[in-house]
Amino acid sequence: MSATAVMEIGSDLWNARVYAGLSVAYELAASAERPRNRLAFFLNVYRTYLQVYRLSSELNAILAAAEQAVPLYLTADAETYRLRRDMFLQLSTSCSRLVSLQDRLPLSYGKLREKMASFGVQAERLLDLADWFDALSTPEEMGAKFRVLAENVAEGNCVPLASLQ
Amino acid sequence: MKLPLEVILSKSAAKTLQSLDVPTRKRIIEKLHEIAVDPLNPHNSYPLQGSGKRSARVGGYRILLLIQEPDRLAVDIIDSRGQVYRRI
Repeated sequence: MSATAVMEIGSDLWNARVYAGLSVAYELAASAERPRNRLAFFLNVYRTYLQVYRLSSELNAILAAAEQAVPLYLTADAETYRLRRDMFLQLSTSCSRLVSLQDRLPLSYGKLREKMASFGVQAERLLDLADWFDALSTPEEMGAKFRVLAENVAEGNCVPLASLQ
Repeated sequence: MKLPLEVILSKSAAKTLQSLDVPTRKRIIEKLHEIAVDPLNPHNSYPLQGSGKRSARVGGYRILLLIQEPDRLAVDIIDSRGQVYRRI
C-alpha cells in the first residue's frame, strides 16, 4: 500500500473528484431527462462527449484509489463508513441513470451510447463498495452473523455447495 | 496452481439459495465458484474486520464468507441490501 493512496483517499482532492463526478453525472442526467432541455442536450454533442469521457475517467480514478485503499478502511469508524457508503451509493445511482439514458440517444451517437452503457460496469463496482461500507458500518450485526456461521460450521449444520447444483 | 476451496453453506443460506429464481441462483453460484478459486481477489470479495472474514455482493444479496484454513470456505447469504438502498 502506498502512502499516496492513503493521502488521496481522504484528501480534498479525493472529495473534489467524487463531488465533481457527481455533479457531472447529475448535470448530464438532468439535461437529457428534462424535455425542454433535450434539444440543447443533443445539439451540444461535443460538450456532452467531453463530460461523459471526463466522468468516466474520474470514476476510474475514484474506483482505483478506493479499491487500493480497501485494507486501510478496516480501522475507520462507523460514521466514516456511513459517509463513504452514501457517497458511493449516490455515484452508483447516477451511473445507473446514465445507463438508462443511452437508449434515448439516436443510433448515430454510437460511441457516446457505448460509453454511457459502460457506466453500468462502474455502477456495479461502486455498489460493491457501498455494500461493503454498509457491512463495515454495522460491526456488531456482522460479528453476530459470523458467530452463528462459525457455530453452524462447528456443529456440522452446513451443506456442500456441490450438493445443491 | 492452487486448488479451489471447498464451499459449504449454512443451512439457512442453502435454503435462501434454493428459494431464488434460477438466474439469481446461477449468478450467486458462479460468484461462489470464482471466490473459491481466488478468495482474496478484491474483484471477488472485500475483507471485513476479523481473520478470514469477507463479504461480497450479488444483485440484492450480501454474501458473508468465512475462510477456514486450509481449504474450506463457509458461506452465509443475507438479503439485506434492500433495506439500505431503498431510500435512494
